[in-house]
Amino acid sequence: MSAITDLSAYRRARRGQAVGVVLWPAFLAAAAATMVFFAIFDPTKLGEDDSPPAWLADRMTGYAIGFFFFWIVAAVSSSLTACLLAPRVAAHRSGRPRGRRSSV
Amino acid sequence: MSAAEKDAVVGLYAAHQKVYPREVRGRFSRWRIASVIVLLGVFYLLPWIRFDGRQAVLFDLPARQFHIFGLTFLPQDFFFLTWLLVIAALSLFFFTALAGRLWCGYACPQTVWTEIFVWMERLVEGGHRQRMKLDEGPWTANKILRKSAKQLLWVSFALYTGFTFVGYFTPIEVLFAKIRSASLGGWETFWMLFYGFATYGNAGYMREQVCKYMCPYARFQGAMFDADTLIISYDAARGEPRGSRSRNTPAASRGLGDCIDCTLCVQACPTGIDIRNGLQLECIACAACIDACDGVMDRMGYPRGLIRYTTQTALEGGKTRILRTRVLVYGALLLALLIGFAVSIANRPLIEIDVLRDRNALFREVGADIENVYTLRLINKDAQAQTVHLAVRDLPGAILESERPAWSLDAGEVASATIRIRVPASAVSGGHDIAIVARTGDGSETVARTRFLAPVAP
Ligand code: SF4
Ligand code: SF4
Repeated sequence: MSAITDLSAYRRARRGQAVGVVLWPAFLAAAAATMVFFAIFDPTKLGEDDSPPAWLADRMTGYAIGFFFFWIVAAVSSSLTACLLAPRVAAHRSGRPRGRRSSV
Repeated sequence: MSAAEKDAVVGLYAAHQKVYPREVRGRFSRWRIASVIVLLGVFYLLPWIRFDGRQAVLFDLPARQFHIFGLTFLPQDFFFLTWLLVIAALSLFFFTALAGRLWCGYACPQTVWTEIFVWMERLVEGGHRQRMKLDEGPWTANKILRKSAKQLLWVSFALYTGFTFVGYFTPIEVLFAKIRSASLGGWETFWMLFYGFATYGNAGYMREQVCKYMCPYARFQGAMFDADTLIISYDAARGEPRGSRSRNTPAASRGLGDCIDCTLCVQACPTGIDIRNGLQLECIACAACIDACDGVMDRMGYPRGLIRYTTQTALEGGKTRILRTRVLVYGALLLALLIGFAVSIANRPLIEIDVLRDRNALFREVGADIENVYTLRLINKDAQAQTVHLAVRDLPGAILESERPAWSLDAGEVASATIRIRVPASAVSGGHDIAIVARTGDGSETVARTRFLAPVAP
């Protein structure tokens, strides 16, 4: 691979990678969670006495809200993992660019 | 902006130069094209196929029913979906142990859609050298024209892909009519754009970056590999020492191996690696380097296969064993699951009953009888109408009354029935397990179990 001389470009690319690495696994987890959750629960029966909750117009909205909710939760978890995996630059300032290939 | 910065932005995930793979033609690229045509053909055509008066494959989320060629699945059948996912995962294990990353090179949606997007790119921007020149050069009228033509192709194809995707969830003919009359629903529009955009970004821009940085399979496939797994490899013993020479020079006469160091294999590689450095995580086993090198070998008059599909065992001079414990275990498990799946699909009850006890009263005394009231949900999962008779079992002397003597249910219909079960008070005391039976015309039965409650006899 050709060397990257420009550090800011390198950083930007690393950040881009991190976004992908966080969002994609979260997306997969959210898709699975949505499937399981809505196979068991009908969104229009989540209100009291099996009636539709007041805020829910129709099933499709319910599914979409559920999916994005799971995606956000999973993405939060993924990004915390990514943070914890990133080398502790402050503690070991060695002058090399942040992030190692093996850490992602 | 420096070139590196530009690449980093355009490539989004790339901390390296954008890859301009050189186009190659050969045996394996023909296989891949065939596979792309078949897979995308199925994806784009399937929603238009009709079966028994309705779309053959329809995941009707608003109605909470899946239709697959006359079979109806309800949320209660979720178990089958889980089973299917386990089968899919196990097949991936099985094929990976046997043939390495065959999936990546020929069947992964990422590969398949990228192939189409690259094809459109080549159509308007030309080969890899022309594209490199175009990207480096200034924004001339020609460049603007070509770039916008490419975007037009990409965006329309991506939108059509989004439309097809949503067509698996909303009947595609209805969807098409809605688009024509501009009355598309909010979520339909949203998911169409969402899926279209994902296709556009993944296949148009991210490409090999997805395989390198985002794909979990790329990381864990190593665990399924062994020395007898099919891999793509450079035969270093035959190729080294590499070096250039003129055509038709026998390699041995110059003390060289068969590799002429033309770097065509590197230029062809969509992930930008050099296969001659050995098996690498980035390699998606697309075989482009095989096709490139075979072409070189043909021109040099050397035998093909300096880079080839092989195994580590074979490269080290051994004999590849296909049937080994790992393969046999995966294979046996897979077979057992597949047979079990087919059998349970064939035998699954076509009528389903959900029983809900009346919430208001545990029981009622009606004359000399004790009565319990239940609400039933009757579901017909068959592709044809059925007539259902209800009966009670496992409680001597009990009779079942409902508002109708028989229930006729259309294909996929869900009906709600209120039933009363009545037993002489002298015959019962406390709780009893009972069975409610739904019998169809052909004599097949579905049984649901519930409780019958009566006062405890003094
Ligand atoms: S090394 Fe060869 S098989 Fe692997 S990704 Fe590159 S071109 Fe494809
Ligand atoms: S294409 Fe074949 S001959 Fe050319 S550099 Fe690659 S391995 Fe060597």
